[in-house]
Amino acid sequence: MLPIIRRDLLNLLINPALLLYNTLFPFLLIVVLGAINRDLYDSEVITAHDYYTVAILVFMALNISIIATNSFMERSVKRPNLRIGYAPVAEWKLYVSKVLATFLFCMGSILLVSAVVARIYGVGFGGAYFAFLALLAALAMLASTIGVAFCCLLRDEESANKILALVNLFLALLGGVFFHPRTIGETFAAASAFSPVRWVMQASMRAIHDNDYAMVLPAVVIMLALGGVFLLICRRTFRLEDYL
Amino acid sequence: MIAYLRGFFARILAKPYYLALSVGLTAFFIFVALLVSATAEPTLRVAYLADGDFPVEVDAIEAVSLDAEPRRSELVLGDYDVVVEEVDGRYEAESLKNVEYEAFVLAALAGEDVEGYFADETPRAVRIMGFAVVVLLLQAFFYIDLFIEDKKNGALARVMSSPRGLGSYLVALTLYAFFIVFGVAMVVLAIFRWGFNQDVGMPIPYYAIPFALTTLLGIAFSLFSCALIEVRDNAAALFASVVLFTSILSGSFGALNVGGFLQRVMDALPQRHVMELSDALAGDALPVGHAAAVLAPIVLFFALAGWLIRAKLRAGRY
Amino acid sequence: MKKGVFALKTILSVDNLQKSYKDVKALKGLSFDVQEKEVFCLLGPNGAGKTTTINILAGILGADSGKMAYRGKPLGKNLQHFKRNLGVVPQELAIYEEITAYENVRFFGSLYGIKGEPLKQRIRTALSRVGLLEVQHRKPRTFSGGMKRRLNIACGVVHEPELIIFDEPTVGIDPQSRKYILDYIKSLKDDGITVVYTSHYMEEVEEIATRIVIVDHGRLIAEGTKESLQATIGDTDRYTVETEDGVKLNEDRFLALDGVTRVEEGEAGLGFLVERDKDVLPDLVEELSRQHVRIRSLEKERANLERVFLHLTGHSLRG
Repeated sequence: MLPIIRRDLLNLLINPALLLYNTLFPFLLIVVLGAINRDLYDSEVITAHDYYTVAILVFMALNISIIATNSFMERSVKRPNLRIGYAPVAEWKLYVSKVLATFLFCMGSILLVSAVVARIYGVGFGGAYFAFLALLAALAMLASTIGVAFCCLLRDEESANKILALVNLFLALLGGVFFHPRTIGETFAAASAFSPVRWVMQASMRAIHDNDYAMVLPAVVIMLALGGVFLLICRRTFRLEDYL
Repeated sequence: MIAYLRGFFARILAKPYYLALSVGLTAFFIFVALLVSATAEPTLRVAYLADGDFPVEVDAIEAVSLDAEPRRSELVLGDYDVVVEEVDGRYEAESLKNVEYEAFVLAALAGEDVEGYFADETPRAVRIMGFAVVVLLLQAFFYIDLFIEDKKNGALARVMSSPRGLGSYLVALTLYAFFIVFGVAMVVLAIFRWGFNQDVGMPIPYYAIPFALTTLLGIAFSLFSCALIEVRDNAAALFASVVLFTSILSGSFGALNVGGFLQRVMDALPQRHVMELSDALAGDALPVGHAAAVLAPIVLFFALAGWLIRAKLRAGRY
Repeated sequence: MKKGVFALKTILSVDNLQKSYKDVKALKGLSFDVQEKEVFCLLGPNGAGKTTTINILAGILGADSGKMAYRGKPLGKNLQHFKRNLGVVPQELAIYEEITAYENVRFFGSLYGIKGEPLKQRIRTALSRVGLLEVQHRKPRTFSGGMKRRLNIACGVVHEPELIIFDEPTVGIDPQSRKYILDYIKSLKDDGITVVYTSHYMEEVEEIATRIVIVDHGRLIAEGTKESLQATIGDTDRYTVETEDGVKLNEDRFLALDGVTRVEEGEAGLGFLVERDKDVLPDLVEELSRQHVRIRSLEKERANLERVFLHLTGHSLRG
């Protein structure tokens, strides 16, 4: 499976649009949102850039589901992926490799963006950087499996992207990435308790600001378990002939 | 042009599942946009640590009595905006956010008249359009799929060499996408207003103008993105990034005031003009200036898209 | 049948293969055997079921029913072992356009567990055999259609399998590239590799096939060597005469001509089957004139697979 993961990862890395979308775009979002909301967080404890660095990195991890669909069933890779099916390679390796390659691509982007932002704005993550990374990794893994599972279910990358683009935006709003869900309404705020994005935001902020890591492990475990469920969906629904 | 239009509808009707999914998603997210924006009531959330209940009642304050200080992370996340405790008979307020929040709460506790201090005076119609703008723009891209298909299968080259030409094709494509996105949006709005008895801030027919302009803007920019970037997913990534970014800057999710050059850029964004236009319409004014400010980029993007498509076809790029 | 000392073994057998797509029955009980070291051709028009058969054999598509065996063992549990010894050159190009030809072949070769120096050697061999060694570091998006097809082949054969399936590998390419590919297949045969080749081009099949199976509408119509199939229509030549509409012939007078064995009337015109190499043309033209038939064109063709197909099915291979 390693050659397949390597190939999938390289396919992502040589795509300039995907690369920019996962590095420059989130970086710009952090810069701009931090700048225009600088009055919102006006204390020695936290600045707007501190807040939006965490929020946008969470959004990046969530959005990786769309990259996963691209890696799995985009037109230019469909036929070569089918050729992998001719080889003595177990079927499950075909979709698991996409999940793993997308995950690695995402984590690489996150590391890069967080390093750059930390350098420019002095964002320190309160000494909880690795706990925060663990949460992002779990969310990225979940998002990757969701993307691939949607492709397996819908048998079509474009339909999957249609749904995921809007679902991700909805989950981001529900999770409080751009602003508190309460801004939208109390019902929305109550519903946010069921959002993995909200769990990651809460667990991250508790680790960073309260030095409380109690929520990290349960959140990671639940997200990985959910990822496992989506992988099972892939196993039940994926057929090689979907590449035909 | 009618022939092209008929062809587009025949192609989408030949995929009923795909059509149902697309239309269903459009309807769903417009409905959510209406729901969240029409029902939002901005308030300051105060964690009250003193004995008893929060002593004053102010519309803009939602006070929650707590036995212990909330976590710092809850303040960071905005679960609470201000923490109030009583020390030696005096109230003390602390906020991680703007010091004005602290001053506001203390003023309210001192019995001063603070009504309207933080009131969100954004008209309901403007709040609705703020969210609807994002959804309509994003949805428009999904109906340009047929153009992307025609690029890939060579049909676009046939169009160029036919007597009807590219212009008719693009007009028909625009009408096709417009009918679906605009039509669904207006129907959902009507259901929201009359079926769910919700106040939408201005008469339904007034919404036709901002909805129509936003849909056309979305179609024009989609076409431009797809003409500029030939790979569909890359075009989608660029399109979604720009739409989200500019919508946030224009204040779709809440008004922003930053001053300086950046403010001028934000004020010039077409999404901002759509919201200003809605504000004017809600006040029964005729927003010609704002409509023109939205029409200008629509025309520009259509023109650029047409020029790019023609140039790339001639260069054999499609 | 008596088998000699060097009798070939059956490498692949297919028995009663059936496959439907919703309400379209693509395969209706197809059965055939492939012997070692032969070039076995599936000949049939578009929609005959050739690609469906290939995809089932390659393990991409599931059959509704039927049995397949590799070297006598059922494919089902034997599939991974079969795939290790199978190379597939699909009809649609299955290459990465954004990486070099070398990297394409290397990646697909690595899927068969080949690494290091042996892999490098096989990559060079595969690219050399398809004539792409000099452009190995270029990306396929800069290639012509023929070059892409050849790269498609290299990716399917780099692991040096004992059985290679080619699914219409010459569709849409220039004659030079087509010749290159057909010569390559002949060289495979010389090397003792078993080839399964599908096509709707009769000329290709006539050039390379050891044995041919003719399929149409999911069924096996005929099977045999080129010579045995041609013998089904007799050792005859055919004169096709295009005439004006509304011709009424006295067939008996044509049949009375020395060498004329059959007269056919169809939409394409008149067809006269004539004993091979019999000089009947002057008599034919004279009789046509006598019967006031105005000739638009006249063509002579030898016995070929196109005619066999027409004879067996009533329509042409490329109709």
